[in-house]
Amino acid sequence: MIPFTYCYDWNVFDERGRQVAMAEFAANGAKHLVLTNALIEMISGNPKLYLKLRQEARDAGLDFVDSHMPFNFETDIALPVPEYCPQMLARMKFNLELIHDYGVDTCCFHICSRYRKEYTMAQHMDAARRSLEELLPVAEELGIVICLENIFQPCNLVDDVLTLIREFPSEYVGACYDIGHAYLMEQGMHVPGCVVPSHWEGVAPVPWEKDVLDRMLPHIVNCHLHDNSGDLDTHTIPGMGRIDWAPAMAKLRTAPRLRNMQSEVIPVRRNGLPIRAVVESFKKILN
Amino acid sequence: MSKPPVETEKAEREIPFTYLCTVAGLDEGARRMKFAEFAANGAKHIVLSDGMLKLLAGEPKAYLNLRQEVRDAGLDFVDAHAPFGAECDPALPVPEYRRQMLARLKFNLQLIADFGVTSCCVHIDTTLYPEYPLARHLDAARATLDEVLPLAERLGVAIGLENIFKPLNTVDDVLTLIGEFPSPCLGACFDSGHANIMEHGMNDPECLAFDRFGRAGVPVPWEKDVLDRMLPHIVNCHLHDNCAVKDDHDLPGRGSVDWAATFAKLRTAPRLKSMQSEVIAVKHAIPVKTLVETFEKLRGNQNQDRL
Repeated sequence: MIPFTYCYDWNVFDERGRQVAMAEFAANGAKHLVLTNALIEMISGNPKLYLKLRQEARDAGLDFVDSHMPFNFETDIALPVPEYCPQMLARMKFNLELIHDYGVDTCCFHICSRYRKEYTMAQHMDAARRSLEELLPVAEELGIVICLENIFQPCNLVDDVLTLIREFPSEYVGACYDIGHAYLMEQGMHVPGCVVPSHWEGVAPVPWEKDVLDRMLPHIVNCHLHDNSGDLDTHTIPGMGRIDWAPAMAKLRTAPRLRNMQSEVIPVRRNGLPIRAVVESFKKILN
Repeated sequence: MSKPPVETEKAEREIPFTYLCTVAGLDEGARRMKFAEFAANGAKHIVLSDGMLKLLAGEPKAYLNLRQEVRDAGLDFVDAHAPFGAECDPALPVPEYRRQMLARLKFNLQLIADFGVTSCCVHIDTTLYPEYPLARHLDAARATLDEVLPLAERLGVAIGLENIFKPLNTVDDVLTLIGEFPSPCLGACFDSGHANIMEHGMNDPECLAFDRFGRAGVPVPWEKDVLDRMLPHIVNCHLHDNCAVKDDHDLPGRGSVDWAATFAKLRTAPRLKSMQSEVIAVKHAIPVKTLVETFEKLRGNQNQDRL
């Protein structure tokens, strides 16, 4: 059975709040949590938390399944500024060690979260290639699959994801299918106020996409499940947006490399949703 | 005709003096104010502290911001202190935790090099794991140096092992490891306060050393001539005062350290790269002005405009 795992905005809570939220997930039937980018940043910056966080999850009867590498200009594999790359690579290697220590074997990577207009797309992608050359041997040694995510921003298209997967043929490189981002890129052209064009201004016309799930399917190792209405990347629960969940879930279940499924609903900061509502919304689409 | 300065005097003036500046809990605005305060009082350098390294590890954005904040104040970073604790120390003996410790230490060395810093204090061991004997801890420290030292050499960062009033951190331990790993990138970090405790704490039953060694079930190996013994290997130093009882990290003059003798000897240390105030000013509510003036006076620089 494919494990189902939950993302949460842990960084808005103190230790007690974190423990209560973990207990809440468990009480609602969740078994697994995502080692999120925020949690990885927290255990990176707070060595004492490295052991403590794992114990907190165990105490709640949960474990960690799937992870998300910290992302942003300083932490993306496509970082094109040579003098910042050593810290980015050292940071990612360190984070991969932490992920491995937590018993997690999949990790979502953004190719490029902050596109720098003073560099070309080709320069960004070449930077991503150089990063993968250095990071993939570490991931292989640790047994962690690097999963490249589709996003509605330059250098994160399905084409970009598939290009890198093709150039680095390894069981430790795959795709992270993000259903909300796919919906924005497939339907956003029909929705007033869609956020996608703003990310392409001054770069290129928006390369709207089709059949994202079909194209990524053979390579999908993990996935981010959340809903939106085609305008904003709201990361809300299934049913509160316009995604047609039944066919998507049916198809996703046939992905040959799929190791886990993830709720990437952002309950607190973006949606003000209780944990129970999140867990129950996924129970509905999983059954 | 005046005499040309002797070589030692020339060397003295070139040793940068750097300040521990606590930033824990401060937001960017408060950090900027604090850096400005140091600069306004004539300081030129601050330490890339363990707290700052944790900040850089936990908040990737701070990697660019912190450096800029310091530059904007007219300061730069000199000397560093690796994060320490049960999860971070080279002597960590628990096999399943060692990979993260090594990756953490390597990442920190990379950050330190990126910030242009060439020396870093490392605690051999801060927290004993009681289920492992002391010898296993020290072997773990050896294994760590085996793996980390090549990176330090490639990055040009000298690791300074610090003397502390705890098992595995005695001068003997520091010198043993330095002797076993001869490298320009491995040396000693002389801590004046810790030396004072290990040299003069034996007459006060409240002295912290009794507790720290007692926890390991060993008598305190009181030390003598700490500075003399470490002198040939010192690459950086932690200067702060105490009364040989608690690890106060107080202002020079408020404890029993012989500062004139300490400075006179330190100036002759052949490998010394920097001197550091490790006074924890926040703990004692010491104004930056008082802190800087105290050290300037000790260094004999009170009449110079800017150091």
